[in-house]
Amino acid sequence: MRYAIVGVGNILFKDEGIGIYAAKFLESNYSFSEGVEVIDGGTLGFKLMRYYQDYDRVLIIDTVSIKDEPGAVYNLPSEALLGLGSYRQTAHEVEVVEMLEICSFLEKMAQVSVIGMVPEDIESVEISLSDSVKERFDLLINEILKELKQEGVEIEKKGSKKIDEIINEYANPSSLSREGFR
Amino acid sequence: MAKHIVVDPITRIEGHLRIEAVIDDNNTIVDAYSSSTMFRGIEEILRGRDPRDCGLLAMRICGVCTGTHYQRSIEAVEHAFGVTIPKNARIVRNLIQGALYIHDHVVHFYHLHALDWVDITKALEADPKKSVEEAFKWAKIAGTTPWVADAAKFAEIQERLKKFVKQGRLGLFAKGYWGNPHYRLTPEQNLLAVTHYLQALDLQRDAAKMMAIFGGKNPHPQSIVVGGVTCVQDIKNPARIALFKDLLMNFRRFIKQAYLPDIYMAGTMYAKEALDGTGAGLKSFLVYGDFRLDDTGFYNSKLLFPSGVVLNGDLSKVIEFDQEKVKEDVTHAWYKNGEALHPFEGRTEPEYTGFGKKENNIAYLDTQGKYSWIKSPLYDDNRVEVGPLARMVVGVAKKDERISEYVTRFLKNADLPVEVLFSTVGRTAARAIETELMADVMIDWTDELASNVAAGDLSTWTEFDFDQVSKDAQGYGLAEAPRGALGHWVKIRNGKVENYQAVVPSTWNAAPRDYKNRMGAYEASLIGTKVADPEQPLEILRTIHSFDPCIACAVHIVDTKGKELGEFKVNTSCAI
Repeated sequence: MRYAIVGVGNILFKDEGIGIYAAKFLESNYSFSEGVEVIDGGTLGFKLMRYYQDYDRVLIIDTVSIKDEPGAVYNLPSEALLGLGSYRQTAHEVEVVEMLEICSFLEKMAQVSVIGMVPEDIESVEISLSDSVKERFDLLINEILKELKQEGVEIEKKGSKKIDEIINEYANPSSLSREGFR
Repeated sequence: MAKHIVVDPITRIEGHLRIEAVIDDNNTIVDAYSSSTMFRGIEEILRGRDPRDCGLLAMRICGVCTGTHYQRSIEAVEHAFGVTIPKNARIVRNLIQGALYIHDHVVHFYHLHALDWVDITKALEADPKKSVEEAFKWAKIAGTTPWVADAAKFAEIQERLKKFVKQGRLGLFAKGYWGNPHYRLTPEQNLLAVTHYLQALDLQRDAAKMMAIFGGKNPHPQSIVVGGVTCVQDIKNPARIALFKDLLMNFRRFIKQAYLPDIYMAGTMYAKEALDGTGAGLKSFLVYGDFRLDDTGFYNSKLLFPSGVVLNGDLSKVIEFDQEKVKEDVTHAWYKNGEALHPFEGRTEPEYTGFGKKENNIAYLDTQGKYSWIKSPLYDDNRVEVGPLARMVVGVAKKDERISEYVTRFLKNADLPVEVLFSTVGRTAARAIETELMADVMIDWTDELASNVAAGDLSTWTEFDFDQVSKDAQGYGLAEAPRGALGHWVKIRNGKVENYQAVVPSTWNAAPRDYKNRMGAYEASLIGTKVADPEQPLEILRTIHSFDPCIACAVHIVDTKGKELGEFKVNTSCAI
């Protein structure tokens, strides 16, 4: 089975980057059984379609605009997404659902679900996470790992990079951008 | 009595856009306002950073135009540093950007715009055999054979549609304004278009693969760096270039045999709307210019899409573009008032004043005051439209040989006068004409790259002394994103970004009124449009979608739904 774990969101708007950081965290600290890929989807737009078409299973990690306390984690199957009006509130979430609707017309598409966290602040222009969200970051990761295990994905821990280090790499990409030349 | 129509959000676009239109007793739009309810803050993030990092952060502005922003940002820094890139790098950048064009345009037409013209429910009534006749008819007009002309295939797609309807699984299609009298295609034509819709869904993956061949990591291309590109291994390998060309050839076939014929079909069936100029709007156009065709360096090279300005639909006159004449006004935008500023001096200081009156639980925009997060860009004190139509119009007015050839051929085949370009139909057709042109020229570029590499030129990067060039510099990356003119302006002092401003296509097109109360491109394009049924703003969506709106890159979130608007406060930590 081809399995994609896609982090989506916008790192420029504080907690909207949760999905991106979580994907990077998983990629840095765990190795998964063959066929599983971790993808930094950014604010992908209709390019998400490709993942829906190319994989058997797509797990999206995202922020969710559900009225609940910041840091609350939700695991939403695709049927819930299609009916969930309030999920459509951020720039990228519009697309997660719209693309689902467009692709639902195909004979074959991935089984799509979202594991998301309620953000505290998606308005500040900052590359960081609110404390309330950061404190419960482990909860998000554990939910994702639990979901993967339930679906038979083998997981092995390989590193112990902290969330702060991950955020820092995104906030200061200098080292990465210069690697290209060498 | 005048009635208000509020469309919020405009569906099938990348983000949040709100349109308020006022219609008279004859259901004709007499006034219109475009508002973006999201704020963009990239400028604040970039201040004080290493200029070589701007690209990696700027690409996060938007997920669709990722590569475009990335490349523009890097070019702004290259321009500031006076770095000229090698030939291979120029061609590779053109190919990456070209692949983005053909991908975006095809997906835009079929998946974000076609259902404004195509009534999917009518496809159920079609006779699949007659759809074959339609396929031949429009392909012939386009000078080719049909992409699909098999009655069994059409019947199969129709069966699939029926199954979906029966199961109540219409998904996206459940939301359309089906049966609206302003849909003009026959059942057979609708079935033909829906078939292409589904096939485009499969094929667009090839275009995405093309971008990844030279762009590296998809979806965030990282192979472009200040000074050139890093994909040396890919261009050294003839198999990679050959794969790129194979994918391109197949996708190009779809463009010529399905996309163009569908546009001829729509252009003919909707000729009335095209001829009466529905959706024309400003009829003033701006092109920054893009796709360098030689290596004479910044803003000296001959361009595939030449820069220029055409005002008031006058194709006999072209004004030379001068970036110093670009200014942004904030009179009706949620920023602190001040005079219109050039992007080098541009400021981003939010001042949210909320919505205006509330009636029947709907809060309306405060159209006398500030009502959008998008600023109002001006070119030499003119309101202008940007995008594929602007590129085709300026190309024709400048008598660019290649562009004139493609536009003239299209109009001749469709048997329509040049004036039809100034309409919603014309805007949609211009995008298709441009797609065909791009797919053709990319074949030449692919060959040019292969032969240059075969001749032994493997240079992809120009060396520069960062400390030397970054003390006190400023530059701009001016280009044409698929949606239109895109510019990044950067000022650098002592190796750090001092000021950064991006003026994106949707800023030009979706902007609110300016200090003289003149309308922006979206707003102007809606005036005079007759709405068949005020409860179904199909005509508004059709015209706004024809611009290919992308608000994700213009802005960021302010929730206008489900919350008391009066309670909303902008977090001011981003203000200086």
